[in-house]
Amino acid sequence: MRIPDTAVEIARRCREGSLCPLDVVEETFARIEAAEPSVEAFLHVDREGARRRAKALIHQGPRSGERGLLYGVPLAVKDNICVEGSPLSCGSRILEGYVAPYQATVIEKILNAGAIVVGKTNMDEFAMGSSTESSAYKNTLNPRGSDLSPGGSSGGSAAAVAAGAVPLALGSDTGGSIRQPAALCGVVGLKPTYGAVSRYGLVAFASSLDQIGPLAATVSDSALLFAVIAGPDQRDSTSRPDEGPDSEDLLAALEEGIEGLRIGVPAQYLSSGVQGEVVCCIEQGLRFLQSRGALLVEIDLPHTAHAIPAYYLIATSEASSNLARYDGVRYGPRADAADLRGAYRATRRRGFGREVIRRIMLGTFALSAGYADDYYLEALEVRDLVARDFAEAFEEVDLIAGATTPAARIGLGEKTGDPLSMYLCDALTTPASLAGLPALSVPCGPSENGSPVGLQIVGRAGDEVRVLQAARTVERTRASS
Amino acid sequence: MIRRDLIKQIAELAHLELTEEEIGSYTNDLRQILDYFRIIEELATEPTKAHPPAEESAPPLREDVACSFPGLAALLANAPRNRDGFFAVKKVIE
Repeated sequence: MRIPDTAVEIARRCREGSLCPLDVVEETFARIEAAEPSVEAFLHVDREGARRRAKALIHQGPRSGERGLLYGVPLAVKDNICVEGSPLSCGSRILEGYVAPYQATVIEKILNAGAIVVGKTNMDEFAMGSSTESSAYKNTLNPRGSDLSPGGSSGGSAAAVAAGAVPLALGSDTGGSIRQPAALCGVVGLKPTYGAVSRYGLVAFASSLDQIGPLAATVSDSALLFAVIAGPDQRDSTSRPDEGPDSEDLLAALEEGIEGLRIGVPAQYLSSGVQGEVVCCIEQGLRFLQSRGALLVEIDLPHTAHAIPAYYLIATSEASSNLARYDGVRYGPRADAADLRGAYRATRRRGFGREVIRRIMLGTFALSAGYADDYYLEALEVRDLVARDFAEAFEEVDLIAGATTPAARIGLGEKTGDPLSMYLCDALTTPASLAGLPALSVPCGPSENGSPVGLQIVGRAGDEVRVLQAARTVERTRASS
Repeated sequence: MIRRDLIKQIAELAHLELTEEEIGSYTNDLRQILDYFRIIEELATEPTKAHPPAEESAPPLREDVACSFPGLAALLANAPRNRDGFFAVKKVIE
């Protein structure tokens, strides 16, 4: 059974009755089985649950409104988002055996829209990493090259979409964890505005930065999933009060184009540290935008280089606090020891991997008495400067565009021995995260070496619509070029 | 500045049991990372630091209303040990 490759088309055909959700599920599992040996994107595949769900959907009436926007669409979920009754590990041994006792808000929303969750995807442990290699369970491989990392931390979700196993996946982005793997795998990844999507049911890494967002093969599919999951939620105190966009209006708006938009191009996103082959592709992506009527404007984001230290000090500080709860009392395996404190220490020692321990150590240091002023508080001031850079730029331009990643590929094992070089993979994605702005990566390659390259588009807070419009313009122009 | 004894102290604060070898390895890692992070110290001397902080909008607040949580049994089932509706741990008071 051949099914369409996009979520928009699967949902349309399932709604009109020319495609059956159960056939979609069976074809999806065939695709997953074909891709998994060479990609290893999934930590858990829920065949029985997905079949039960598809059968339940078939009994929903065809009347208008009963069959939702994602009716019959198979969807993969990063393993740090709670799907009630399904295992959740965050790629960590410390959550081995944990079963999510409740539904994340995003999962409630996609299920209400008719989606079918087919499995949980691999990730860097607690989303700490840029290559998915810090997962305690396995390495995920990039479908574009078996010796390449898919990026991270949402590497499983990006690889599952890139391999064609699922049309849509949910990921989370703290400093680039949706955009960077999207760029390296050649798919579309959107980090929404901070607070646009509820984080209820997302395992916390760095709470002032974490956001859930879509990974998809097309811009329209990204827009569709964003429209479904966006909106306020009383269970997340950082949730923005504005309602998410109407999906039909959003999909129609994507085709409106970008005539007359002013797009800022920061020199910092095309200069030192960004590989030549990436620069070539980004320049081509910018020409696509220009050819459709956008006005390119050179801008300056002077604190771009300072974003990495600020981000890593803030994110690890928050992580050291958020991960204090993993002590073997409420979840996961508990190590035995003579007393309770010894049990905490031994449980954490056995349960956490090397990168997570490194970040807890860094964050604990940055917050400790005698050092907090020079590190954590200093980082907060730099965060403010980075946000100001964007605010000043957005007085002159409507969008900002540049590279998503400094390099077009990361070889497996290339950076695992050098934590700082791994951190620098996030050099161009952390600034928008610190400022809480919507940012998306859309394919604009391939490079001369055949690697996918991501063009990053950043918008004003709450302006996902224009970000998606520009991405759709790049996608459409690239397809016709 | 990052010395082994400081790393030991940090591990103690973070409830992490580390071997002597690991203490050495994390000392080197943090030293290298924090050396690079010194680029933000340069900013401290720039006048930009005198700017007032950016305006922050307060998060929206809702009424604080108690409600029941239906998944208590599932929560307890995830614990390594539970007893009488509580998480069970080693005795902490003599």
